[in-house]
Amino acid sequence: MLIEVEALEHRFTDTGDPVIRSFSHRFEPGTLTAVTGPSGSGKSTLMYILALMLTPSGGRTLWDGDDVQALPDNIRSRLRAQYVGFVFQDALLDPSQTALDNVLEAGWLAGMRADVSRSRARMLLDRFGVAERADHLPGQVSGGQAQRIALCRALVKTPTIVFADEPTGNLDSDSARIVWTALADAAQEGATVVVATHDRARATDLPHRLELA
Amino acid sequence: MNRPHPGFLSLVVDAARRLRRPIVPTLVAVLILFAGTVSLFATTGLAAASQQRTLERINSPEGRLITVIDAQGEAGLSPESVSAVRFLSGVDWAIGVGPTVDVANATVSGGGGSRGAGSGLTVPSRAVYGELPTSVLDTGPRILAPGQALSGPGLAAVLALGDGVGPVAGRTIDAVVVGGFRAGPPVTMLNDSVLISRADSGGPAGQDRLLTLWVSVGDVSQIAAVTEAVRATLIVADASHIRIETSSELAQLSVDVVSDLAHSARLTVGSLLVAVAILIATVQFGRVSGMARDIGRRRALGATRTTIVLHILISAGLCAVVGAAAGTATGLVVASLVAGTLPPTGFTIGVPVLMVLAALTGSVPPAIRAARLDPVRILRVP
Repeated sequence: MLIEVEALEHRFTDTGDPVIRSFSHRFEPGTLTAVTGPSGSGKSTLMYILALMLTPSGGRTLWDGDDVQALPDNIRSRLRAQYVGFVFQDALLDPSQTALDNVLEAGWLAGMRADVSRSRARMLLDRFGVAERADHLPGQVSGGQAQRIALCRALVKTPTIVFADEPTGNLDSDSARIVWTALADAAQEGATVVVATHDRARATDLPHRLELA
Repeated sequence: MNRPHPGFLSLVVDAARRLRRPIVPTLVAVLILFAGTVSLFATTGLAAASQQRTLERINSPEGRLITVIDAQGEAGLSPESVSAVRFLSGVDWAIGVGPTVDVANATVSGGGGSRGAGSGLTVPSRAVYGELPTSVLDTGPRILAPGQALSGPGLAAVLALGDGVGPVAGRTIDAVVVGGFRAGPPVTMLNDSVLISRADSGGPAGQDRLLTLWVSVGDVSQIAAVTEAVRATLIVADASHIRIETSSELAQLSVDVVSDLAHSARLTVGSLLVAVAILIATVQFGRVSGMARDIGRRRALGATRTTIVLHILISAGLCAVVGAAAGTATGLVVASLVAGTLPPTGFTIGVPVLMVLAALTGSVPPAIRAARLDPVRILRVP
């Protein structure tokens, strides 16, 4: 899905400095774009705006040419549930549910059939090497395993858009490599993938980069 | 948007699964509903049960009876009054009886046709006007032709009537006993006599008269109005000799009892429902605060505000149903042990329903607050 932002601007308070100022860009389908920049440059804010979680102070966000920011909150939530896979920096798993149930939750919110969702969740857990942790609670798995479970949750509904906010910031190199590979695979399968990262070395290798000041 | 959002049933299942985490507000909510429901049964429920018992006593056959008396026979109360009052609005049944006349078996030697001067044993008889109601007449045929009679319990043997049937005769009367009867309240006094059916027109001579007219109303609360209607409808030569006895004071008492208890019950129930709603709101606000990160995560994953509101309301509803059901069961046991009777069915069903509604009402503000939580603000806090 083509994502465009036009003259995007955002400030958290009415009188504060804008976190994002006059920002325009096109995120093409089938590409993985790395967004880099120092802390406070607005990488996470941009992710939240693109994922329709945050309404910008100004500008437009278009999905396949439609101004989705102007839609009512319930519609934006449904679009997010159905089309967006989001990988958060700290995994953000529900500590009271097993790894499998955490993954299934995204499919449930997207309205997937339970059997289809369960089958795909198990496939993804197996693909990312955490199948044996399916029945464990998040508190019983390592940070790297938790992030891989979060990756499964983002991908279970076969999203057309994937956002990842510092997904490898707290991971060892093996886990980081698995996550980057998975994101690249999602892009190769046609998804629009946008990754906010501090990992300049990794970003340098990517064909699509975006540097926020 | 070709996929549906989570359906209501799956939301219920999800909410039920998540009641365990956190468990404390869940248990507190259940406890509030349980305590509230038991309190209502222990206070208003017992009062309602007492009210029901009192009203049943007041609304007895005796309580619903209007008795028109012409004690000396000077008023000239016409038998036609029976059919005149029978069809007044609110009247259940009406029968009239004439003076007592002794009768004996007309076939016993020396008794037949002797106008009561025979040697057979005599029993009292009364001319009866009007259709005997089944609610009063426990046994025996209800519709008799003029001149036919029914004997009270045991009187057929006294009269030596074979098979309980046969002719009887008195000083001014002849009749044929065609069966027996047993009268229940409020006219059990008829059991000691033979009832002889007479035409409402007052017999061939038109000179029959009633000494007593009994009118039963359908509901005790109508007794005052029906009494006035009966008074205006009586066919009587001299109304000044007529005395009307009713249980109008009881009827008024019943109205007062219902009114006072209803007012008191409304106050108690209303106060308790408000208290339950406030307590549940407090508990749910705490629950929402404790679940803020979970709610933010769900919103980030695509849960709509409607989904969040429904989730909170369903959680509250499940707690309420469990608490109210347990409270109702306990309340019924308490009412049965303390008062020896159960509250009315409407009360038993209405209390838990109102409790659940109060819990849902109290959960609306916390649910709206939960839906308005900003997922980004929650996610940015480590």
